[in-house]
Amino acid sequence: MATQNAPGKNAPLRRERILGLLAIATLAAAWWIGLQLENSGIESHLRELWPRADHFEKTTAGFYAAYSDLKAKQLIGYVGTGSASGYGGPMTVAVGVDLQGNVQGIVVLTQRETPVWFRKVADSGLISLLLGKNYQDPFRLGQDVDGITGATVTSRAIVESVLRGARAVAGDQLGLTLPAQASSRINFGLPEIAVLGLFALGYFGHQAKFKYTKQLRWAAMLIGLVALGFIYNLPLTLSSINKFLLGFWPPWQTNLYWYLLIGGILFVFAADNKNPYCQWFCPFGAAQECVGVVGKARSYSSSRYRGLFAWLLRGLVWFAILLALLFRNPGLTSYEIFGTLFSLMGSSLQFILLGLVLVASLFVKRPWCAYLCPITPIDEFIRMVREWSLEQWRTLRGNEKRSPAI
Amino acid sequence: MANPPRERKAQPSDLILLLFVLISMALVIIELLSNLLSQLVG
Repeated sequence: MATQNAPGKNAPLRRERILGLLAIATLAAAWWIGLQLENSGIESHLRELWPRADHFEKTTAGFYAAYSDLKAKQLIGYVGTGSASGYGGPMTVAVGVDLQGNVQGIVVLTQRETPVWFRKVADSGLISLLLGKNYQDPFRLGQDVDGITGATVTSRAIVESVLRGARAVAGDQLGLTLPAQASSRINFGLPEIAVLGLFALGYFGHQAKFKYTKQLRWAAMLIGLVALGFIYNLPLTLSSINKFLLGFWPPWQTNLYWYLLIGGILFVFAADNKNPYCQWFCPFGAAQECVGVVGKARSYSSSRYRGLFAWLLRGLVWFAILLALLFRNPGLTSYEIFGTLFSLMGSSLQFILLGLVLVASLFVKRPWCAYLCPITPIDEFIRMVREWSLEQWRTLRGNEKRSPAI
Repeated sequence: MANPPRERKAQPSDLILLLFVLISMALVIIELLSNLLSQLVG
């Protein structure tokens, strides 16, 4: 009987696996198309960088010399590029530099910042402030350059990429001596300590003999809410996942927190098939549970629409990742409302959505996690792949044992 | 004893939940599309 029922029981699982494979195939195709379409060509911006020049010549890879007089070939400066890590990935800037090493023109060639925030920084006049600066200047936010409050990462990426472009021209083309660069320090501070501590709490909380799991879970949630939410605003978002999928791996020295968080989650998943983050220290999950305590919220699962809700969310997340890979912009489709709550930053739509979710949290336990969070389908997908791989491994081992030794 | 029927009629709470999910999804999709438009325009 059991064997007769098996194919029917396995049909939804098989369908899920086929759809999972299709999702991966379409995402890989989007990644490849995005790579082909990416245009970071400097040539079309040369005139913008050096309006006085009427002739450009390519010197070495990535550099152009600018001449003011075609016949006399009067050299007036160079064009080079510099890159730095922004909020959504690498940012590349083309810089026009005169013969004394002063910045004369700046054009952002590629950037992956959240559109609203990049526009805010661009409109703030930060780029104009950098014009006229010399390659020997420190280019430090808050010292010789004013950044934009709330968009520090984007401001810093612009400033650093201009500095790198100016110094590349000064060193490679002008033969000038570059100031000694401070080696990049490993960024290990309170967020890194907090995330390690939270993983440790989760580990102890999951021990079979431990009696106070519930209390420990609440402690972890409150620490997550305060530290990773309200103080540092560092929850796991779709943007961080897209960034890793696109291969925009930021320097580990300055982004240790993200490596610890994502690496730790994947490690626990692989070893124990448990998600250590969502139920234990996701700051937005904790915020919903705190609201839920006020309204005595309870877990609610609609047996009628459960499948519809799950597939709507899976489709939405697939679409959001697809667009991010196609446009090679991790932050483009990061629709979460975490920053809206923890930093009060977001569009009007995000504030409406936040209000809706918080009201729903009064009655239903964690409505965002159940119906809207992009991490939920990713979690399900990782579990499915893990289970499938283990199944294949067991089958392979079983076949090896059955087959006679040669 | 007969087993209870598997499919049941939608309860009012199911419909409220459905409304919440659909409105939230609509807001998310509008947000995604507006970000996409910003990227395409500028």
